[in-house]
Amino acid sequence: MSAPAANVRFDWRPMLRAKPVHNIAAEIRDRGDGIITVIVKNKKPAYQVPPISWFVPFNPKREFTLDPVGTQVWKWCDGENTVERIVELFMERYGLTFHEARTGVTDYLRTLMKRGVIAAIMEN
Amino acid sequence: MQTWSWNNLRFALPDDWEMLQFSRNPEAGRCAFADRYQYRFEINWQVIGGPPDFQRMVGDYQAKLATDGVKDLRPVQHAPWYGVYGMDHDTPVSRYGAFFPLGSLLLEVVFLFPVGDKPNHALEGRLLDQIQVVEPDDNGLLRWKAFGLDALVSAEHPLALCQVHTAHVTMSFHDKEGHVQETMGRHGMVDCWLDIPLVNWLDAQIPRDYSIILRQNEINHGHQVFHVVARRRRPVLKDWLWGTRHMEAYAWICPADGRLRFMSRTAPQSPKRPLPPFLLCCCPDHEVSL
Repeated sequence: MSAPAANVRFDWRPMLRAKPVHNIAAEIRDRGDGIITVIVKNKKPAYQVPPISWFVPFNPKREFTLDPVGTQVWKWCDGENTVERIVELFMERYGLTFHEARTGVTDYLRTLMKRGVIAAIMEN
Repeated sequence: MQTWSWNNLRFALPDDWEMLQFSRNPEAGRCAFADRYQYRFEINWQVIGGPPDFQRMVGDYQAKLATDGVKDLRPVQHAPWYGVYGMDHDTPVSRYGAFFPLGSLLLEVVFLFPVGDKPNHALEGRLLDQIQVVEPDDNGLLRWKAFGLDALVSAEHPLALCQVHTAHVTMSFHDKEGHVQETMGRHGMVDCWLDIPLVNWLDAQIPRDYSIILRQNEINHGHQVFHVVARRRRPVLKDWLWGTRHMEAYAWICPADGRLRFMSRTAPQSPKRPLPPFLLCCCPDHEVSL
């Protein structure tokens, strides 16, 4: 017999209670066909000073185009829906199980967060 | 309750407990299941030489858990299962072990309850009663039921690959020599990614070095099933020895759940032994056999 120590402390509740919210500083371009482009302002890195900046171009904006599925998930990130609610909406829409939807949605939200498209409000 | 069949184990769990961890090895491994918020159930298996001394094993295990900081330890029993209950990091945890002579398997089952909840020994008992070690059926087939796939596969073809992603599951079984490969898949969110006719998608699953020699489709209980047979174009040495490899594949979308099912078998054209059946069932009305 062996102890399942690794799984005892696993708890998705704190992550599921977080509320993702749009980056209000980002600019949104809606193509109208279910696809949006999010334009995020880039922070100028500390190394972007002459002479490096003379040779390494700095792009002050980055564009992320979200496909229709991604656009729908982004729209649900309104600061009201928790991650759990977004997962529920996703599973209902596409006929998935909770964890099937959770893995896809949370991976996607993590990517959006890393790119500055959304932020997350965590519950204390 | 939902029935799960994995290797030669069969058990039933509440509908909202999903498998998140698994092992392919039939000799020793583990499957872990979680509800929406946390892991709830684990089943560990190991092939051993004979029945262990459970009294001693449980005693030793209890002592080890006490050393690890598990509190409120007490022995629990639900024949033929012996176990220990304790509070592990404020999580109530029950661990049970039993030996099953069929397959000479030692099983360990772990129940984890939410922090602050009391252990539900009645639920534990109900779930323990449903755990079975099963033998292959008269045709030498074992049932695999997991991730929405329900199939009968030769017991001599162990699980070689299992990939689980959001809405996509693929499981492959190989014989010991690697001559016969059986694959099945279940793909959801079809509207989001299937932008070509299903027959073309099925063609795209055939490896490049195979030529399609037969293409059919039929409607069976409301399921439009596409079927292709392909043959390896340029035989390699292995094919000279064992026969040119053929691939046979089926694909259909089940109207009940809207998911695409795919099954295929790659095998030498004239295998030394007749190939065992390989069946995939998508709903009570429909089953496809290779």
